[in-house]
Amino acid sequence: MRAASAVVSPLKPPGQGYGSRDPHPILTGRGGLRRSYVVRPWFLTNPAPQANTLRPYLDCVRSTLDGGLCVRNFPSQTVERHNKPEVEIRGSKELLLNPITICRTETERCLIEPSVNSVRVSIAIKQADEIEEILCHKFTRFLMQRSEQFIIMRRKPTEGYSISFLITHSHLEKMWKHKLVDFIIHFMEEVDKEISGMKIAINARARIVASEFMKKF
Amino acid sequence: MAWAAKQQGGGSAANGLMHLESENKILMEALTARLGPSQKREPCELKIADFDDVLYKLFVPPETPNLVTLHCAIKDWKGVKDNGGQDRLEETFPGCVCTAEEGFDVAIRVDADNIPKGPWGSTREACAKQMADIKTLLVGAPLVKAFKLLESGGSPQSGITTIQMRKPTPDGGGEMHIVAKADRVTVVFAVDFADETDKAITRIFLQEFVEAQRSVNNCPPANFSRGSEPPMEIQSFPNADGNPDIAGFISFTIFKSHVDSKPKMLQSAKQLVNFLTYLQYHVKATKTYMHMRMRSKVNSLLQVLTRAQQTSTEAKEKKTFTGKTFTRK
Repeated sequence: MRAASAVVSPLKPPGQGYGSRDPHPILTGRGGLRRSYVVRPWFLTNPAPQANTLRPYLDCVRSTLDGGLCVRNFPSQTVERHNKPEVEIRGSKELLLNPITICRTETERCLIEPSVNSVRVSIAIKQADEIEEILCHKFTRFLMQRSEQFIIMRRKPTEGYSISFLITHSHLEKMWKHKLVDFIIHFMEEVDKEISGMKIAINARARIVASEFMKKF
Repeated sequence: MAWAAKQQGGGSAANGLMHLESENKILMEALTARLGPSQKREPCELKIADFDDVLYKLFVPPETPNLVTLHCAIKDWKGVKDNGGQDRLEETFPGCVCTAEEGFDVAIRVDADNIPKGPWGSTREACAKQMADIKTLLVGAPLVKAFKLLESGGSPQSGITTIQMRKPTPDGGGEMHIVAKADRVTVVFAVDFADETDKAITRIFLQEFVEAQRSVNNCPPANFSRGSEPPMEIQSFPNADGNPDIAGFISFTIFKSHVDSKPKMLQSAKQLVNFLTYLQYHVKATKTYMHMRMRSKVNSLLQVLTRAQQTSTEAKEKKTFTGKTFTRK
């Protein structure tokens, strides 16, 4: 099942990554491709989605990241001896590549903004109800307070998203690219799992607390 | 202080960490020592704060260490006093009630050499326990009054008795409404916490109290409603609809079967008086649990990220097949 490739044909199927010499076809497309791309996974166009729709979403994120993480050292063009992530500075149009949004649902999506020397990955986590919203906020805040330890984590999320990562060329020099991509995918899986797990745990706790109280009458 | 002590105190072997004991642990400890054998009595002036904005002051003067005075301030003494609080205090500690000093509402003085007789007995331990549980005694008085009337089948006076249990949050709440009918007593709590997270967790908890009646036999039926829609019973109460942002209302309906014997009646009153404290304790415990979970999750995520780091490319010492060593650079 090649989920992403059904719609986005230029992307290679997951598992066959793009090497640093094998540039991503969308991201490096010169001329013509200047719009922002929304990559729609196949199930959004498919009338009958399959039960496990998380996998194609993550596969799509993985292959897009794989292509997007194609960065090089690029010192600032305006300030001498400075080296800044261009995706944050947004100083020059030609250094930024097309941002890509991958959506699973309306609330659950992922924005990948590549640039010449850095890539920003923002994740919106699904929040179905009040308690999930609070849990998500608590958890992401907890993580972002520790962004010093998570070297690639941003202290604040991009507008409209729950949590953001900023991967610069120096990170990629220190880390294995495929493992970094693995981390982000793992992170996306775990956050969802953790939030629903916490929600279930709170409900279970509440049930016990309430019935113990009622037993005392 | 009392908060910490209570949290530890709840951990007795009998009920694990589930229930908090209704008496104040610090007060209990101090009183047990002061009411005990005369050589152990030390003079003291001890101020203690408890849940629901209750303050205690234990005073033992150095010149007469046998006279133990306990002052107590509760949030809504006026409401409690008018609804049987004063009578119940005098009934429980006959001849011990004295005037409270500035800032406190009630005071009782007990002579350690001559322990008074009360409904609780006449032993020192029982006396200390009863004194340390004075909050339940006083705040429970309006409930016990309504329960007694329900048990004896008397016709209740119409209207709602409202006791302000704790200081309201900016959104309001903190009241206990007692609605007495001929065949039932409905106790409605307006529950709220200042923090939004606490509120959301509280709503889940309150919802589960309603569910609990399915699994527990003979418990009073509970009903949860949001702050914007107060329950029918208290619609006539003037401020009932003035706080739509509170966490919610929960009502317990007590029938005759819950109060048909004295211990049952006292137990029901005790449960209801300590309801808000119990809820608060468990909401905080849930937050602690969430925090612990998040902490461990962060560690496991960090491990995955550390795995992505390339191992250092420093020189390594290697051995060839023949046993020679060399350094690979």
